[in-house]
Amino acid sequence: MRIYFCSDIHASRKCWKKFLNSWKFYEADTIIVGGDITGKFVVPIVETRPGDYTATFMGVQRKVNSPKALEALKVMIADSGQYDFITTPDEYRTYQGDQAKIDTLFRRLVVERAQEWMAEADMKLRGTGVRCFVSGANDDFFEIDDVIASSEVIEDPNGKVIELEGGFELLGMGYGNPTPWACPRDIPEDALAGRIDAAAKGVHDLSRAIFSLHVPPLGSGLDIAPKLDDYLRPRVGSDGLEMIPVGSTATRDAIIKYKPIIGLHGHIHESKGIKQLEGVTIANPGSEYGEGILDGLLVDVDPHKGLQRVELVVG
Amino acid sequence: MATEMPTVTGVFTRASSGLVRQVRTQDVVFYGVSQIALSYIVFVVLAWGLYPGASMPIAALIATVGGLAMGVCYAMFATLYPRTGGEYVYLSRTLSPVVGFVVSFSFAFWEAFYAGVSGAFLSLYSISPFLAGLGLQMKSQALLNASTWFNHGWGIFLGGSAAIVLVIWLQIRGAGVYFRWQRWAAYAAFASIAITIVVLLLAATGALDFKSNFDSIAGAGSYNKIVAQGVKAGLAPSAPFNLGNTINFMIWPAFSIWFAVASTSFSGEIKNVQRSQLLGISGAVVLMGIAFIALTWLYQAAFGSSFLLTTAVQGVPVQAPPYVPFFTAVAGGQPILTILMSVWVVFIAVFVIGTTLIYASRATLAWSIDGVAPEWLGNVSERYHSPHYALLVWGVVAEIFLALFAFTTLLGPISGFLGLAISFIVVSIWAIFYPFVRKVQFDNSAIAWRVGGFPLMSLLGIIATIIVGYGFWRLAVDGSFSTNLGFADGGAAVGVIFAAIWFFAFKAYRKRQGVDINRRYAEIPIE
Repeated sequence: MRIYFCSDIHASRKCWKKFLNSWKFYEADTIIVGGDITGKFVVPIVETRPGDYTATFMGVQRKVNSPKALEALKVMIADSGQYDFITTPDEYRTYQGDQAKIDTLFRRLVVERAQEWMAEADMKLRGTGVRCFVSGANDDFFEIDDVIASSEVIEDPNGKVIELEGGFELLGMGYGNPTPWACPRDIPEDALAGRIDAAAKGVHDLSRAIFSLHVPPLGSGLDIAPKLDDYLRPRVGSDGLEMIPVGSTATRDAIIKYKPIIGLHGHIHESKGIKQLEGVTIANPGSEYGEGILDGLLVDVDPHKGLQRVELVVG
Repeated sequence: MATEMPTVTGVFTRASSGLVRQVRTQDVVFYGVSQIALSYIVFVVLAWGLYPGASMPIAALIATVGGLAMGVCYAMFATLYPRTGGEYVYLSRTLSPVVGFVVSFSFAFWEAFYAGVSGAFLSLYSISPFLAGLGLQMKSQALLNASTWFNHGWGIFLGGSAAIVLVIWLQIRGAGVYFRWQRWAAYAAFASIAITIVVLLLAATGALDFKSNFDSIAGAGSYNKIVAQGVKAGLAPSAPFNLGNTINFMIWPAFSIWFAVASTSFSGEIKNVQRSQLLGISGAVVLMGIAFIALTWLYQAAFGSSFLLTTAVQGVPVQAPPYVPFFTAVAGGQPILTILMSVWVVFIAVFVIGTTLIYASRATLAWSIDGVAPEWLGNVSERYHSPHYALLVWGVVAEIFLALFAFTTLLGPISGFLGLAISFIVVSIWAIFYPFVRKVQFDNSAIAWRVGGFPLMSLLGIIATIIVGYGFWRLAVDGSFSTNLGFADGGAAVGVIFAAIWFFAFKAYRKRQGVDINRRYAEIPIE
């Protein structure tokens, strides 16, 4: 069985479309997004006069004045993992400085994008026989879970154990250890450990268990991120960024304790790699969603021989 | 009712965005300043006489303009692909995997070369003149002998080796330890540079009498005698201004100034605020360009052009090397000033080794991850989180180059510049074409700026290609002061060929393992 795993696509339309095609491209039987499917920016497109629009996207002011150009701008915004929001100057002003209102807008746009994605997945994967798993992770609002559940073809492994072909089992965990941003699914390490332990009780054969734990194990080499100062700015020395491990002790303990066949992780975009932790293969595909590049992992497992190969790919 | 449009329409972010803010611009400037390695100004002055009529400040200005254009191109690519890994990342993804690898390998290899050669520079151009100045001021034969020892064979090798081993040990102990040491060294270096500039200003204005100080240690009338000998030998006075030679001389200050681009090896996640790279690289290039211009002018004003031109060839009649740190010590006239002014020359020389090794080891990590280098090279120490094997491998390569520099005449000070400049020229040329070849990505990006409808990136790429390209050509043909020893030309070519063979060999090796390297870079089609 071949598994394609990616993570942290953060609402990138282009990455999602690539993901839905990944099974064909890589000849995979099972495809997984390991969480963080929602975006971080809304780009207001302000209609200054009927038919004339302006937006600041990627720091550059864009002016469009035709339906075709407007559509192209919206695609550009969506491809980079951001949400467009058509508005008027008056309405735009009402959002400025009102974080609660902005967050409400976010939730609406996030859910709408997720609904579009589920519909697209149903259309493209129905009848193909491909198993597709998507779960929310620490960055994702809880509303996403209901949207994923509405899909005909997508399964959500978050906090569950799902049986795969060949006797393998997939354990998913989208919750993460605390981050400086207090994300929706950030929980204390002991609570995270409790959730993983609870889910692991459902595994029948740990030697055939595939753990998809969003946050990589602490100190594993898959969790190296820039050290931040008090203002959440990366600290730079005279020789570059200061990097530190920011993974989870709960994840680390779980990998060491249960020794699954492989640990699949995401969360830290800049820390892609394949490593060993106490004899267990663990991997993080990294993420370049903002450029529309889909970083992924190919995992080949055999019912008789176990883990055959793990390979990083850039799609 | 239609109302006035808000002047700026920014994006909205979530309360819990998970976003990392941009790197501070001053941090990028600080990093660029470290990369530029001002202490290499020593051999800029030494090489000056080989370009009759060249103006050091104007050559530094030309190098600064070229470095600025190229640096902005690098920063724009970093904005487009804000990932750790520098040119390897964006060249392998937007131009060609093999080109990305070859450029990256070449840069890493020659960075390791400079890890070794910088060790030699430390002994030769930093420690030796420091000890000489101090020895003469304190009338200590032991210090003078030590200075002479650091100027030759084993002194060069052991002094350099000690620095290489120290830096590798610090880096293996982890980035935190290394950065802490380097941060304090940098603060001390900046203070030391400030003291040096004050002393040079005093010497240039006559408040400190360099000539008299020199005569007091070398014998009455020594200064005038040196100048007279220079005139007799045709070394002095300096020839009338010659623009052609000034442009040709540009490669010497460029050797330092152009390296500010290395900050593109790190970037953040938020593309629309990545202008810290643009401002940071530009700031570092301009700041150090000004430092080069000011220091070269001050050296001439304080020591005299004829004196510098003559001593660069004939040396000085005392047991000391004819390098500007020694002359600066003489100008200061006090042992305590000599010690304070040597701090930047020594510290920067030590930590330049660190900057080169960090680039090489990080590039190796990226290759390992992409499967075009052995996995063990990408191994990160669980205890210290440092790529210890990569550091050790490149450390051995550095030691080999240090030995070659110390014990043979194969290598010269900027022998490796040609190999490094391959990256500069490839990135500059690719910057011209990128906005057209990758139009969608460019238009989507934060740097989709146009001047009269023409992409700014292309415009800067053209300017950079002209200046950097000319410098690249000069490096290949310039016969002065060992710039293009056979090792440099041959080594640059061999480096490229070796890298290409390495890439395709690994590709074939991976294929035998059932791994298709092409698939690692191939884009999934969208339907």
